[in-house]
Amino acid sequence: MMTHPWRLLLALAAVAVLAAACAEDPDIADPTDDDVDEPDEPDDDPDDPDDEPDEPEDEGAHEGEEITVWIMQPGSDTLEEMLEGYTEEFEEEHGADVTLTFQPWDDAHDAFTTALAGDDVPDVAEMGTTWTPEFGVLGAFAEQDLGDEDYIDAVVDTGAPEGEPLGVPWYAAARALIYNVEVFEDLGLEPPETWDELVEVGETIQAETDMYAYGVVGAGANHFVLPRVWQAGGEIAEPDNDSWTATINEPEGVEAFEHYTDLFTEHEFAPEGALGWTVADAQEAFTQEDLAMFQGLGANVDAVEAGNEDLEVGVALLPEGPGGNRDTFAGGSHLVRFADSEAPEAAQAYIDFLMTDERVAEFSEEIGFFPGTEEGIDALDLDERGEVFAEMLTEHSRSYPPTAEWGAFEGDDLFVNAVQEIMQGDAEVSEALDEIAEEMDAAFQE
Amino acid sequence: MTQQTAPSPDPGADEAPQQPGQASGRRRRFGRRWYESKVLPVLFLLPAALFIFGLTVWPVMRTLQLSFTDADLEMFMTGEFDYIGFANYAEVLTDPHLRSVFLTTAVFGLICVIATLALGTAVALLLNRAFKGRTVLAILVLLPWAVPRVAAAIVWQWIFDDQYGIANWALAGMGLEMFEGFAWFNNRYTAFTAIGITIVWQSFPFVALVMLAGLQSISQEVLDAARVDGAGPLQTLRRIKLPMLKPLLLVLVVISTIWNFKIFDQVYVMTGGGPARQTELLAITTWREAFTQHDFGLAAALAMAMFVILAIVTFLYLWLIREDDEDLS
Repeated sequence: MMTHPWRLLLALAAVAVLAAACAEDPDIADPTDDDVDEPDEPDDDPDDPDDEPDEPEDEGAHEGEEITVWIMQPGSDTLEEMLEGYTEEFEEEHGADVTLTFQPWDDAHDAFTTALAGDDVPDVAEMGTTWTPEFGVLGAFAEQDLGDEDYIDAVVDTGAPEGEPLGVPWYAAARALIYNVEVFEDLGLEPPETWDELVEVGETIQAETDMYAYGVVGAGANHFVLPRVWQAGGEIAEPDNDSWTATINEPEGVEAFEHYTDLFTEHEFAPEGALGWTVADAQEAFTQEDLAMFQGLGANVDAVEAGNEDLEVGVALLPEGPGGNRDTFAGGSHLVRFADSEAPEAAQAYIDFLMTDERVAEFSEEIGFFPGTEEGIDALDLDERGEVFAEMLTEHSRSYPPTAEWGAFEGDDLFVNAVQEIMQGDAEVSEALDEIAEEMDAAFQE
Repeated sequence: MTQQTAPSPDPGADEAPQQPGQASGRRRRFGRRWYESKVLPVLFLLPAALFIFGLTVWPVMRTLQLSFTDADLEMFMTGEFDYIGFANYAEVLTDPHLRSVFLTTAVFGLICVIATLALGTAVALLLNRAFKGRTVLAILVLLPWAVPRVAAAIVWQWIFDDQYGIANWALAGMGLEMFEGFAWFNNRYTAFTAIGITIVWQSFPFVALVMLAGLQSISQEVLDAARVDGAGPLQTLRRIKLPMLKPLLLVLVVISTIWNFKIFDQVYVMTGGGPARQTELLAITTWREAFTQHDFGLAAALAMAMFVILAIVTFLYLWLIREDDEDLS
């Protein structure tokens, strides 16, 4: 007799709990439909929050506001603590409540895609510079007012797919040639100044030592092979009315891909396994003194030195191509504010807070990159190697075409696949590039 | 007494006559029985059923719906989807790369299933014998199963590293000089060999465990009778043990097939589908279409194709089981 009401109660409780759980769904789902049109609206007033940057006086101005911030996992406790420290400071100064989440780089693209598709985006995020146009053209981000700061052009351009900047350049860097000083001194070699010299120097190293000469990476080939198209005097794609047209398959592009893959197939400057290498593998081989040169960032140099204290690491400008330039890709990060943010002013205030000169300088130095402004770089006290990296960034850096489609090209390994097939001997360079151009054009015209 | 007039949760009670009596008592009892046998179970099952619906049926329906659209990220953001009929399915059937991915997935999955079952059964037969250190060995055998897939894949990726991997070092040390600096991940077949070893290494312990339990359930009398009749170990295995374990083997075949069709982690970690997309399996391709290409419609069609294939495998299994039951009766 006693069990009867109890059982009923239990069953009803179970149903009630479920109903309550389900009831939350419509709450989330309904605004989804309403919000649909909203992304445009906050877009119209991006200036409001931008009007009041650099004003630490507005203490407690965002009391009670809550923002979510996604920053890429910086890979060291020091950096995480630095960012957590900034965030606490911001909370104290502005009164806003910040939820800071670190997203691993490898999963971040999926995380942003899911967040946008599910309409559950953060308020502020760090964005890889080539992703900013991809999500930006969908109206994901609010416009940014970069004022009259002298940001590095290449990093601004890539964040402005439709002319208006959507991301604030947070930190940036460009690759340079990293070499084993001892090997070069022993053999009486100078760092190569041109593509041809790279081959000559490499041949000497391979003949005189048991080292491989140069990190020709396959799986991570993007930032090594694509800048060579510029160095050869060509373009990857060119603006064409409202869209773009692929030009990667023109003779300069063919020359660039041939030069790069020949280093692997003909000159055998890297072990066979380099077909599947990323720059991390090249860095490891260099650290183990099995490789004499590779192309990398300041962060790569730091990692090499941490792994092998006895190794003397030299840094030189990238060799010049037949096009008469040493242009390379300016990598880095933007800070973006999502158009859907419910606390746009607090979100913008957070970006402005991180973007103050001292914090940018402190953070970018620790992470092994440069601040995104020329002024910020000039203010640094750089050593000889730092000067080389700085020159690569300020004088010789460019951005990939800032198109919505670029993220998919990279995600699909469009260029990497071609490089690997050529390295495997399964494809001929000009045919592979014609196929790439065809795919690029199809995507541009979609 | 007030009970009779007070509203009762029993639906049957509403119709109860006002005056107390035997009829009303019986009817109330009937009402309660009806309530307890029909309503209460439904109430108890409802939460679980709704969860299953929410976590399984609804996503499948939604995927099916998506597969008829050319949904990209923008459509998710605006909520307006373009329906394009069966175009995605047509692409799945006609695109040469997608077709080769299906073939690769099937062939590689099948090889993994066979290798896993063979190794698992062999280990189970070994562990089924009494010898010193059997328990320790049994525990060691189980360990790979407990390693997270991504961690295992990273470890095996290092093992097969061309320059610093222990596999090349050991093989070259045994006099096989071709393995000095051998690049396992440069070519589809050797890359799949490395991935396959990782997968089998991780999945055979489960098979061994289940088969061991099965072997131990075979009555000793049957085995003794076989021995008396002059059956050797191989004959005992082929004619007694394996036939008796057939239902178990079928379950394992189905489970392994489903697992091996869904392989993602090991490939994602070890090759990312490369070189040049040559080690892409269905799950990787589906993920790539959805998350790097934002072609959610095509990805949904691929996911539905995988769902249908695995549903067929499952039905085949159910049908085999049913036939088995009939044989027994």
